[in-house]
Amino acid sequence: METQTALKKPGRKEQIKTLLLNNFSLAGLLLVVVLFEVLTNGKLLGKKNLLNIFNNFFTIGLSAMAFTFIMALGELDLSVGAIVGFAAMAGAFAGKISLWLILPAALLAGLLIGFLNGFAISHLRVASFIGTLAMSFICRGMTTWLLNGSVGVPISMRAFDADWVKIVTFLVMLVVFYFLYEHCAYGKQCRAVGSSKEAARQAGVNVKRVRLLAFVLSGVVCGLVGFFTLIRGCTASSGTGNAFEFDVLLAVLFGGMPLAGGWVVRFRSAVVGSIAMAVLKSGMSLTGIDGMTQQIVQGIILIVVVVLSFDRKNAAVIK
Amino acid sequence: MKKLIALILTLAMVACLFVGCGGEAETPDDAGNQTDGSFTIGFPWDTASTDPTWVSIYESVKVAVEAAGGELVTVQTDLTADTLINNITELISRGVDGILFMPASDSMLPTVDAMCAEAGVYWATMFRTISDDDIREQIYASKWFAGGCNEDDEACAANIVKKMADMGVENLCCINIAKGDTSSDLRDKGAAKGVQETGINLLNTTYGITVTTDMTKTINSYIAAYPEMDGILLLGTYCPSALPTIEKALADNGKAGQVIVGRIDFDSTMGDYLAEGSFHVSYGGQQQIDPLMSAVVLVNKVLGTPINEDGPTIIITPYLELTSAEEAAQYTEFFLGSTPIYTKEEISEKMIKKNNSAVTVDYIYDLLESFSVADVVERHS
Amino acid sequence: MKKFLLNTVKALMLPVLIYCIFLCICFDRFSNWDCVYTIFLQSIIPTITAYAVAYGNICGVFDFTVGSALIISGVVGGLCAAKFGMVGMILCAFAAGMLTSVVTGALNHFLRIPSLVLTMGLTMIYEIIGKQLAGQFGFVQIDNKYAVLGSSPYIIIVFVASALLFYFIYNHTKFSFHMRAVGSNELVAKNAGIKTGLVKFKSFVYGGIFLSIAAILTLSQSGSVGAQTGLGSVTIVFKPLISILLALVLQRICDLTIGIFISQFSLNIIFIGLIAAGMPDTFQNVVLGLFLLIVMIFFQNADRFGTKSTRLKANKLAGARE
Repeated sequence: METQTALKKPGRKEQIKTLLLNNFSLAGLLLVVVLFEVLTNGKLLGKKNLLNIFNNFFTIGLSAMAFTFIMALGELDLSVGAIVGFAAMAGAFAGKISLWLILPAALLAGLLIGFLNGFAISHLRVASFIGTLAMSFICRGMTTWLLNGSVGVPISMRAFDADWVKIVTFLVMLVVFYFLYEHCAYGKQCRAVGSSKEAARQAGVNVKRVRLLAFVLSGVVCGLVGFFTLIRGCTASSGTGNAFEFDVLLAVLFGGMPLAGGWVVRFRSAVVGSIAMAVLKSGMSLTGIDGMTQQIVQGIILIVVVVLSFDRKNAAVIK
Repeated sequence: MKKLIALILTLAMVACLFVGCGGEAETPDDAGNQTDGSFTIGFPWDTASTDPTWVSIYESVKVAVEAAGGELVTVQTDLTADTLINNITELISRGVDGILFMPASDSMLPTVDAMCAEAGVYWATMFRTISDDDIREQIYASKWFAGGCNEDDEACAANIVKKMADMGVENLCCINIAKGDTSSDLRDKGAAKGVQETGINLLNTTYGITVTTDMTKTINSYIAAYPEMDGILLLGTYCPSALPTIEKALADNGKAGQVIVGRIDFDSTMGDYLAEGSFHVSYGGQQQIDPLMSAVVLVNKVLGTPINEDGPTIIITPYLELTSAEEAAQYTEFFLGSTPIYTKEEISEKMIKKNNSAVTVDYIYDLLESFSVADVVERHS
Repeated sequence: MKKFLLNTVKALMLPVLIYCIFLCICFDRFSNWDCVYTIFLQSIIPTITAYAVAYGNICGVFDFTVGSALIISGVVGGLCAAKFGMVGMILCAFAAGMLTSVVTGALNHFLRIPSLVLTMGLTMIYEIIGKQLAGQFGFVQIDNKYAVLGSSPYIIIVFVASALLFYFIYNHTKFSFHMRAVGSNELVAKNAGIKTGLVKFKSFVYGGIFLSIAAILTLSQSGSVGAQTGLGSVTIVFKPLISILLALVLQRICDLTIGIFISQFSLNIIFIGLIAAGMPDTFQNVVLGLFLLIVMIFFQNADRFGTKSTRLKANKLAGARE
């Protein structure tokens, strides 16, 4: 690709077009911010609303970052929401023994389900769509059955819901995931496997391990999200994490992340998409748009974003 | 370059958030300082729903807030604990003076109280009681909790089971909202109590049905697996068209009229089935009076004239019993119609303490004692 | 023919085995003909819904819109029943279902974006259209006299006709060969001269036929159809999808048409069995998930678990798939 670029320099128009297309999600985010900032008379970026946007974006953003590794593999994880609920339940039960056990229990629960997902997909050859769908049924059923209602944790746990804790957590995760994805061998291996499993195997990549780890990573992050969800409401119920998988999927798609996996999967799509979705939701809510219109607008924007940003040239087939 | 822009944007966003956190803490207003002028009440509700009952709940809250001179701000919610907490954060950030909502569970309430206390915002609940003793004690001690209304879900469920047993039911199957919801759990408990007291058999309970196909499937399964079933009790559901679907499944199996059907919460389709004799009893009517009274409790507190001066105002609204097609038709016309069960003028005159110093908890209970389908018909026809 | 019958009997062993398990758990409640008949009747609509999803699934296209399109079709049918009677209901529901599917197929063809993204966005839009059409109450109800198709014997007749149509399209048309080619390797199919875009468009259109039939039967069986929002309609797709996946496993020994029905029948035995056994309904999801996972693990690893002959067969199949 680089050789081709060196041989034939694209025209200025072409350059601008490429630049726009490559930065479409960023441009979209800026557009959404400016539009709603004007429509809400500056309330959107007001001090309090920014925190509100962050609270909406925090959990989705965290999961979306881990989801990037799965998307890079060309896989899907439909059990994200169910793992969040399961981890919150595990944390709530562990909190009955000791408050110090809440976070480890949630993380372990996430890790366990992530490992089972990964093992079924990488070692037992189950398609990720089916495996994670089945796992989501199992986790949801288990959560509802074991909780038999809802279980709370003490209000003192809200100390961990402080904005600075979440901001620091998010920044740490952002830096860790960014380096893992962009600068470590593992991130590159994920994209290599997503691009061509066989080629990656030939190049010495342990494909099974790479796939397993991506789901474990996602599971652990879901455990963390489960912890933060639990301490935010101080409650775990059968509804915890409900439809969260769609929120995460929508966020990464809003960011223009391709489904095919491989080298075109960009880390920034997860972050930009999550922010864009949170800003969009907040903006619509502030302007008093009702729930039905909000859903239609989201649907249309999702299609428009992908229609404009989807790289058809490099996609051999579009499924 | 692209990565750099993305990183800068993210850092800018996070920096903004730090700026947001770093500002001086806004001190909460002292209790009762807002004695006049306009105010806003935040209300997380499913604004995508066009169901007449859900619309009437919204209208009941709106009329009560406007009767006191306030403005209602709604945000879209799915009524789960996580979303409600986010809704409350959003409403606080929008500077509302009070928040009214339907809690998803007891355990979320201390969080809500902490958030509201921090922001100096009064809050009230509707439809739900606080079952957990420790949480109740903690919340009732909070000066930011205005109070709210609820029904005795447990007693209601026990009573309707007893009523159905009186009608001849011996083997009962139930359908309820998903577990974890306070009302669902209490109604379950009440049904169990009713079953124990009457000695009838509770064969099975299915939870969380949201689509008609699942409702049909469940009823058909009940009929197939429990041929002895002679009663179906709908303890609660968010499934649209639940009653017509149950009736259709029973009719298809030749069981319409043979199986006694009861439900908690009135709906707009009961009349026809009551007339046909295939539906037998419903307890409800609280869907309009409860949110209206909850909003009244909150606005009085926000205006600095709380109904109960010594603590939160807790009102238990009654369940009405409905067994005839005529009452069902009146319910549809006068409870779900364009005029709320109390008009703005009626609320302003009778229930806003600022305008009527006689408003006390006992006074409200006197009003509720006369509240019935016939009462609303008489006042508004 | 003998082989076909023998294989079908083999495939039927799956529901028979599950039935026997529940018979052991709750003999009194399960050992009656009514129970089996109810399970049979309950399997019809999900089977036809699965037929609606199957063509797209085999083509490698994912369609989230099936649930929301089914609701639109049912709601339009319900509205027309009041004005034009039963014939109007059937025609209008069919027209609405087909129109929705054609629009989805056409957008998928022209926009050239991944079907998962497109259908997810469209589901959000279709759900609101369904909600608006359903009006104030959020659902439409039909008079019982228009609901005859939902009860036997009519529902069985419609089912048999639908199954025959599905079988014919799946096995005896040019589209069926093209569909399989696109599903196994789209790039190779494209290079072989197959108009892959058109094949995918057709999968939506043919799916629309079964979707409309499922909508009419749903409306007739339940007497009403309710709108859903917040991607709630997506869950309608998941269970039929599971039966397709199981049917693809059974495809080695029986045709997909029968396989889908057998899978759906098996799933419904589990559903009613758990109710009859007095298990909490939350258990259904756990059992369903485990069942799907175990079947898929066995299917994907037949070469590891099986005997030498099955290993050879599985390897051959795996080779063919790749």
